[in-house]
Amino acid sequence: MPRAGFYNDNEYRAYPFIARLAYSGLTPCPNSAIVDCGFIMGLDSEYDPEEHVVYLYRVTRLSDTFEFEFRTTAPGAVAYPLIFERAVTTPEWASEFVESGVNTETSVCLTEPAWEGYLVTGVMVELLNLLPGDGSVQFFAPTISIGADHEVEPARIQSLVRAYVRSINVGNYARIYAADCDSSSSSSGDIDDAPAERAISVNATCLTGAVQFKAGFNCIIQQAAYNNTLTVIARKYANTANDPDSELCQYGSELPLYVGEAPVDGSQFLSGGAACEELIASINGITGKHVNIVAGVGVTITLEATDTLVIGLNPTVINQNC
Amino acid sequence: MSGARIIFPNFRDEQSDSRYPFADTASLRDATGVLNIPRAGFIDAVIYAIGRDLKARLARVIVTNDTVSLVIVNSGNKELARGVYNQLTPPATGYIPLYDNYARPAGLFILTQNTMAVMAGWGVGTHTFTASAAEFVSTVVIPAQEECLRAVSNDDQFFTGDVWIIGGNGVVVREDEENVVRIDITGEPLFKRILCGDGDIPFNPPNTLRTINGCGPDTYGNFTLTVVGHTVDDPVLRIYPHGGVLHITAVGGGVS
Repeated sequence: MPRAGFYNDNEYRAYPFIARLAYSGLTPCPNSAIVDCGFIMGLDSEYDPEEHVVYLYRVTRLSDTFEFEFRTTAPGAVAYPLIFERAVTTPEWASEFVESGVNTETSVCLTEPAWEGYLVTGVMVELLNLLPGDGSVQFFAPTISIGADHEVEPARIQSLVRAYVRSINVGNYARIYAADCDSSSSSSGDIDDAPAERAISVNATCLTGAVQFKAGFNCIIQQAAYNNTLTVIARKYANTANDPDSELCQYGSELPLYVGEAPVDGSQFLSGGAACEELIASINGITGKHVNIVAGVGVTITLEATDTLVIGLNPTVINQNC
Repeated sequence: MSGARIIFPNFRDEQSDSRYPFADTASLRDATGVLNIPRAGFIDAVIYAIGRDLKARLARVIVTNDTVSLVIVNSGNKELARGVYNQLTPPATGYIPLYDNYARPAGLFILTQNTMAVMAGWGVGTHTFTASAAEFVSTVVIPAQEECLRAVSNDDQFFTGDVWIIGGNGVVVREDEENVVRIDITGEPLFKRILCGDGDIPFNPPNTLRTINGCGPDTYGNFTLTVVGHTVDDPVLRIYPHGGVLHITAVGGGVS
């Protein structure tokens, strides 16, 4: 005995929506209009099958076209409805794949739709009776406790949440700059803390395709293909790190964190501060934390302001000693 | 109405007398031949575990004191995913989400309340099913190939989506050329200052002497105070270090 096909069956039952014992009482969408559908929830859709649903929100007629608008409660895709279009004269079993808009708020690297899906429609006769002219029929918006009148069977939904790596992005902790000793009263023992939470200095974003990791100064990268492992090892002087002409030595063992980073004003270093040869380490060969300058006969040394010594000669004293 | 026949039963009702989503050949009987998955127990399923296998089957039902785990394996008997429900508080919807070993979404089972209760009543232990006992029909198994980079992980964390690689203390990570990420290990010249921000280590910015009267040191870091006689051969001023002290004094004959 010949049997009706799957789509034919679905023209007379709720599928692909969940059949419910009770509905909201609003005008339902005719069973014959939609016979199959399926959806793929995107990487950033935040779809959770235990919490979120996909549902038929509205059918709109615009002249000779029907628009089937599907929505989801998944937070990352909630603002991006899927709209399928059909001419009112479309024959049975017409199928269409549609992608939603791109949710650029979740990622600057995002290029794929928040979600996508397909819709197979049946005969449009009952829908034409429901919408004989321009207008729309809006169905019950879902809540978790009530559910939607036209909630899609959850097994018709595939989730790509956490399914793949979309891009590699590269950055570094923001640089810590040398303290300006002129601005601190460190002589009194004040503590100048570095910021506890360091910002990220972005170097490159949205790397896709065949990304390669390359060992730089003092670094070795070992690759094990058998278990897909990259091991990064620190090794002194690896990759010409001890070459005085290397980029590493150019800024005194520092490297630019981003393209165009330049040394701080007044310093040859990216992090600021003085080089060793810029510091007075001894006076007349005398070193130490404190260098004492003693005034002998005929000389006076006085402190003027906080950073000025005035050395004076007193010839009268010299006379008296003679 | 006695004898009435529903010509177009709803989808879920239609599955109530079929093995769907299991294959028609599935016995739904465990390896001991004693336990049976109710024929109408599974209403629907979708399995999209990431891997290269297109076939999936229910291999084990693991019952503990408070949970029931449904383990899905591929044709090579490798675990693809599992779904877990609490037998004391089974989900009212019957929805059992599936996750793989990395906690990635891998599908969904829709079970009847009766089925969840039956399997919970099998007793604590692992109840296995042979390859032919509980294979799923192909329509519920969506291929999800390993063709792209699925994740970046270390020993205990798993990253997907837009993955950020951040150079921490003493490490610089940069895009060296297009799609080449270079890792340099430089160390931190200001490590004390960084450590100070991470904890209670006190840090005093060093006081340094860079110039005297605008003049810096020589190449060895030394600054020399000296006396130069511009008008006489033997100036009275003397500057000399002695005993770690710099003496500045005047000597010589009197000034008339």
